Amino acid sequence: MSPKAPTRVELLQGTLDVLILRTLISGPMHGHAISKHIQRTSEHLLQIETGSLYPCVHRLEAKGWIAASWELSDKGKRAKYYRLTALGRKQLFAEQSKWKAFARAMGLILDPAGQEGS
Amino acid sequence: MSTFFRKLRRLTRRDRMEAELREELQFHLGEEAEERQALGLAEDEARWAARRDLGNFVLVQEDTRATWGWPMLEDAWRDLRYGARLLVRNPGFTMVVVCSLALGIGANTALFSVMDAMMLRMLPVPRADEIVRLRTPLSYPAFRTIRDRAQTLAGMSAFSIFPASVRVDQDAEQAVAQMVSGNFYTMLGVNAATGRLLSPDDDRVPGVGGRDGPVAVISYLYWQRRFAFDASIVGRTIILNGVPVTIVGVAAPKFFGVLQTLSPDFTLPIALQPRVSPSTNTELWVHGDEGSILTYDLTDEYGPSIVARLKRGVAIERAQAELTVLYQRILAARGSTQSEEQQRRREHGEQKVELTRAGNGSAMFPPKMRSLLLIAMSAVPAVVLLIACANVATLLLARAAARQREVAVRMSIGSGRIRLIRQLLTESFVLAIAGGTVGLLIATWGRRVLLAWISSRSGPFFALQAETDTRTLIFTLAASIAATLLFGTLPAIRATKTDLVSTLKNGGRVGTGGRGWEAGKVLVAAQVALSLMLLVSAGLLVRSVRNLQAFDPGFDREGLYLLHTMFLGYKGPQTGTLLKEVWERMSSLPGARAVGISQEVPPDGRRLGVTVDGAVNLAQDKMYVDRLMVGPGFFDAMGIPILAGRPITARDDEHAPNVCVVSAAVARTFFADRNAIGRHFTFKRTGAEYTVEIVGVARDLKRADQQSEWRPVYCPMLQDLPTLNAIVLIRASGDASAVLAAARRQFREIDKNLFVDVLSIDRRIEDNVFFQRLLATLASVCGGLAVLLASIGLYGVMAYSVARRSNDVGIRMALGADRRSVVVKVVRETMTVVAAGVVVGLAAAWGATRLIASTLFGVTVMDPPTLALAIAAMMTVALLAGFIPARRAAAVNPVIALRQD
Repeated sequence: MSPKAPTRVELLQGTLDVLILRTLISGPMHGHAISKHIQRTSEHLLQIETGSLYPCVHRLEAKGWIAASWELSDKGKRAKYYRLTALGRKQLFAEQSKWKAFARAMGLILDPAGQEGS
Repeated sequence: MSTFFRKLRRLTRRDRMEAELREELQFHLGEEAEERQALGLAEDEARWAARRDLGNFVLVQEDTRATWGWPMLEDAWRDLRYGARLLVRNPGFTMVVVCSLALGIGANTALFSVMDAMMLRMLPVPRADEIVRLRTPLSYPAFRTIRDRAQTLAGMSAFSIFPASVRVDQDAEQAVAQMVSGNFYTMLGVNAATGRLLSPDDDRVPGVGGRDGPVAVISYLYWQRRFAFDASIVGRTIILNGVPVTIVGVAAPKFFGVLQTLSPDFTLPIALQPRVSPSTNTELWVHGDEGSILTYDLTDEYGPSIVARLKRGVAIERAQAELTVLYQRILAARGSTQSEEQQRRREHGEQKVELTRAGNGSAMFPPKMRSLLLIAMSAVPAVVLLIACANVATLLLARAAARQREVAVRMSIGSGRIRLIRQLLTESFVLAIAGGTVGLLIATWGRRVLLAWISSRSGPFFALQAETDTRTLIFTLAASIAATLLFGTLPAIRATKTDLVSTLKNGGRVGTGGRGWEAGKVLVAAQVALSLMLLVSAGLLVRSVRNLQAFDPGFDREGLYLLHTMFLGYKGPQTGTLLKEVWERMSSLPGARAVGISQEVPPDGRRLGVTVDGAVNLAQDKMYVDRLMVGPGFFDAMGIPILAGRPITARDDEHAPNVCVVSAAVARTFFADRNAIGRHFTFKRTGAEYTVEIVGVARDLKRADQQSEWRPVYCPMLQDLPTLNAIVLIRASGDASAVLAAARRQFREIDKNLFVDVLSIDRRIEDNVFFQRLLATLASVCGGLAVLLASIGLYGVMAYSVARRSNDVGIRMALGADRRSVVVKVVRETMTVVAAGVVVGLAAAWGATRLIASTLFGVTVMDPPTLALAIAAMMTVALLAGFIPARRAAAVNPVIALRQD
């Protein structure tokens, strides 16, 4: 794998979990679709590497936050679909508020005037 | 928790998971490719782009797999299986390695378990760490006072071990007994194997005991040895030192008493002491009531040993402080009759009570020997293990070179270096565990031999028991892990430090020489050095034992037997009458050339300070003699000629004037060339002095250890009654067994409660050098092992080196080199390594032998013959180990060797 700055890896680690969980709220999806969805909704700012995606979904599955089943894709091929579990939903809400607070705090520090103005 | 089970479930469905992952990733690639095709790429190009985008397919799989379970554990398990398979495929290599390690680990484990039993293990009682011993001697009354008042102790118990003559059936037998306070077993927390143990009630009435009269508990070991677990022994009455005693029970199997290595067969309440104790001094313990503390002021040093249990959570220092206060109060109360001795103690501030931890029992060896033995028993086998490790490392290095291609391939397809090192180390661990397992078997056997040998030399009461227990197993495992790290690390690092491109290009073959080979040479040289160090030490110790045994003490050893007995159950003057009767009966034994009586035999004796009438030019600390108590016939039986005056006879008894015979050396030292006969010695004893007149001069004796001048002075034992020990010296002519049997018969007729213990003087001298022999045997066995291992290592390295250079040799021979020159070249190379090892080994030996210098006798630490022999032995073995591969090198067929390329 290509070397990354340590801070970004750390950030990405936690972030990717939330991104995947959030993506799955709109319904079951296979790995490729998850990756494309994140790419699209982030207006191509975020590029999910396959090398990180699959280990991540498998880890979430091991934790019981998402569950997997084999289904036929819209093109009629067998694909592994992931969906959010109740546990995952709870986890997502917890993480979401944490991230919102974090983002707000970052914003306040980086751009105090702008935050106050809006 | 649920994550744990989910992971566990996934572990069990491994294969399906693998297939599903592959399918999932394939699907991803398909989707990606389709997407790119839709953007206008050609099918091929789209597929390649998708693949590139995904990155390292194997790595993604690997990373994903890592989330399934416990990757470290699973990898370790996979490595273990892989390692085991690899080892099974190379049985020759595996066998050499496992045997090397087994010898190394086995030697360590065997000695560890013996050492553990001898010096380290805790008593088999609950919370053994609370058990302490009082190092300060206390009289029995002082003991009772402190026992009743101490707040920091959960219990305090007196014990005193004494020799016993026991009659169960016909003949009296020697046994070890101890008397203890009634709370002994309850305080320690020991249970009965059968019957009951002692209670405070048994210890109530002096001379009687309690409700059941005189009772005793026997040890489990004695129950097994003497009664073969006969349950009906409980309730039987035996005669112990002339007193009928009822056996009430057997103590728990593993409990040998508070001293790990001296196991009392009988345990009696201390109340019986006035009747069963062999000593007259100790009568004071029980009879002394509070009032007699004053009377028996001096008897602290004759008091019983004391063992106590700290209250839970109490620090030993706190208990020590409290007991010191109590003890000083007792001393203060004694104030009015303070003796000089007390005064001296007070002045020196010695009246502190000293406590030491006693949870592991006391050692059978004095502290200095103990530490030397600890070093010898841990360092010597450790060196053997070190050699074994160096040996295995050498072989692994050789194999690592052969596996360079495999390693290169694995690294080029993306294996991490750390991961590879871990795998190689796991393989090493498999080897170590196999070695450890075989080593455990060797240890079990070796320990049995060692223990049998030790106990055959240290008397029948040696209680050492060692078995393969958890501690031993943990030790073996630890040794195996240590060995793995020792022998596996270097080869693993070496193996993974490889130039991928050139290795793969070369087809796995590396040029001649190479760093692995150099490292191997260094390791072999180290093995030679360590082996030589052990060999030299062993040689010195063996020679020193030989010298000790061949030492001429100045008396005749031929056919001399010692019949040892103890006048147990006799009091005061009775022993004198008994001694005379023994002498009268023995002196007319048929078949005995000479018979004598004695209390001790040279080189024993007691060093005493003396004054001499007339001026003597000696410093105060040189005014001593070594007194031996002897009886009639002693000089005759020992074969020590009287040079002037007369020997000691049966008439030198308590009614005759006090006399002595001195050795010629004593006469010279104290009286120069003047006549010693008729002069006087005055012995200083605590409280009293007594003067003896010199009536004879005997020929000099010599003693092996010459730390200070030995000055034997022989005094009549009949003038120092009561006497406890008696030895009948019999010099037999021809067959000794008849005269010894006759002597036994005589003893039985005198008193059937007397035991007799027969020993030849040679055996006794042998037993005296037991410690040196133990060290010598240990060093010899380990030295032999070391040389064996080093030669295996040497052979391995040379054989490997020759095999690798068969190409080189082939070219030389094709160019006209003859076989002899090839052999010479390989042998010269071997000997260079060995010579380097010998030089380093000599330096190491120089250091190591300093440690054992104090136990050597008659050899210097750098004894030339020993050195020469050790070097010659090492060289010979090395030459052999190098010669076989050299022969093989010479047998290379140039055509075949060159065609390999």
